[in-house]
Amino acid sequence: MAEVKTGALAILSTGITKHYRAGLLLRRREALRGVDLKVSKGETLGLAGPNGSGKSTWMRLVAGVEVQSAGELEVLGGSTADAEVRRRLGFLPEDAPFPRELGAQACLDLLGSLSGMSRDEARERGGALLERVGLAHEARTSLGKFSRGMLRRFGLAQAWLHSPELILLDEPTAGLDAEGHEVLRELLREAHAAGTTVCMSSHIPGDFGAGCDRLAVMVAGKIVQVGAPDELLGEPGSWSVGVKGLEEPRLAELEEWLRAVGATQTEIRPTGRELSDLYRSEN
Amino acid sequence: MRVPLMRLALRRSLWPALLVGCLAVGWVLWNNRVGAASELATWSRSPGILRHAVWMTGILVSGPLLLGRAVAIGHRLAGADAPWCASRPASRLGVLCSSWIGALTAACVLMILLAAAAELGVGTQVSRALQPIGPAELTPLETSESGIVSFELEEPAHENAAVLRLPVGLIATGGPSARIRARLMRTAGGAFVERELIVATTRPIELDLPAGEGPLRLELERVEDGALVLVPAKRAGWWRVMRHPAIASLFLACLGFLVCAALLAWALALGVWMRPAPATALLLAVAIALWFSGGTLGGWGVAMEHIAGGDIPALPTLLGSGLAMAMTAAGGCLGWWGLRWGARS
Repeated sequence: MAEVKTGALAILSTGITKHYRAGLLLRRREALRGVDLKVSKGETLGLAGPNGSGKSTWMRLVAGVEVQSAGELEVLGGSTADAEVRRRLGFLPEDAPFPRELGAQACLDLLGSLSGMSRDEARERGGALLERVGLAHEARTSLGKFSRGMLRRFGLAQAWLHSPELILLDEPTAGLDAEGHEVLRELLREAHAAGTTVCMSSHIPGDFGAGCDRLAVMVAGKIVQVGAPDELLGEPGSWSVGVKGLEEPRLAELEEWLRAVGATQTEIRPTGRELSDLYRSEN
Repeated sequence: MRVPLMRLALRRSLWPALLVGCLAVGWVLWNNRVGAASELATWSRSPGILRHAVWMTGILVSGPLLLGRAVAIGHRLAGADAPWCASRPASRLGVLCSSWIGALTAACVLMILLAAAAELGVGTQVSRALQPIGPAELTPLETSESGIVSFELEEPAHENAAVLRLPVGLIATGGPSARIRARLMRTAGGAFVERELIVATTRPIELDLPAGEGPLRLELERVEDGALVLVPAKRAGWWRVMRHPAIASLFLACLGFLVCAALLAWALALGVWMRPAPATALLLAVAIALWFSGGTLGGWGVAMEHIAGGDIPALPTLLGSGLAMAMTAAGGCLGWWGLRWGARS
């Protein structure tokens, strides 16, 4: 299991529980059952887990949207009840519930204002981020007219708006197209280089790629495993190899060699072009 | 305060109430114009009735919509909007106050439009508008003459008092109406005002204040047999004459501002704690109860009665204004508490 890096912690979650009361009889439903997790500053953490495992609930607690039922949660050295802590974090919520009646730029103005930015500052930074996520030409379009993928891109722009030290991304790849994935990868790379801490949740292992330093697995409201992505997602002796420059007729030789060394070939398919290349060729 | 958040709340509150309110008030004005051609309807088209029709339509149509939207805003702040709102450094109280100011601005816009529509509907029709300024203490006097009832009154405390208004009741025992001679005079002698009138409805008797100073004497004399006239002496009051009747809408808007401030604060607060439909229903039930009740905070129905009578409602008292502000603050605190501690989680 990979150890937490030395240095100050960005998130210290100790025994966090969260329960809700629902239904006519106000029945208690446990969403988190004691989450213990440490995230170092500058680290990129992937949070994996099936639907309903509690990833979004934990992220909402860390973002200060809700308050935990029990346990200790320290974010950037303080509590999220403190406005100064919230000023230093950015959050992309799961279902992008931004005001649909506002245009993209107007919504960034609003969010910038809530983050304590001046109007000019929010406009300048918001414009640059919209450009970055490929929505510059839709700056005046109301969010209600955005597709799910466009809303996700907008969500990325608002999470980076006030240059936070800690960024929480709840299912950032849901609904993103290939180009959007590329934008996200670039943003994550830059954040990592700038020393920004990133927590990203997903239930698709491929989303974590090479971008995550560590991967935490949450099941039924508890962290069950933490480690390096390769360590957790890889199996000894199983490899995925990309090959370039091999003509199709010679594939049979490769398959034969694999059989000869006792390996089982699981998948061979043509690759090398990204979907985004196809989109560009259509334009 | 966050100006973009105020604008968002204004936008969310205003549009449905404005659209439906404009259609309803437009229909009332159009109906009034069409009705003006009818001779049968002429008697009922007094400025007060027209003003009352426009205001009542606006309040009944736009009021519930405005409250419903404010409740929905509160509900969203604690629910759907929380991820982008609560994760920002802006304080919960600031977020709530900004939303309240936005919703209150929408209410003000609606009231200004209603006032303008009401006064445009009334047009240039001239009428004398009165405004209540204080009660008149009537002390019954023993009189030797039969058929005459006398009361003694103190000099009105308010220097602008110009008219004594005496509400009456009617019991149609000896006929459908009664002929009365009313006389208001200075006890020390001198000036007096006398009117002979037929009392056929509960419309109050009005007598101008005679010139001079000192205590007054009011005499009511039955001129001929007819219905029994009741004089509830405790409800008599002094009124002043307002130069511009159109000011009625302004006074009503001032009263409406205080009422809206308190109701909208509670709408946001209840929205934070409850589902929108029951919260709106609860709020409307309270508003209706206060409408019909008397007292310092309630009795708004009385103000609308003044409007219908062509009069001007009294300005809110200091105690009433203070209570309205206290209710506003209490609603704000309840909403803030809900947002701060996660009312629905």
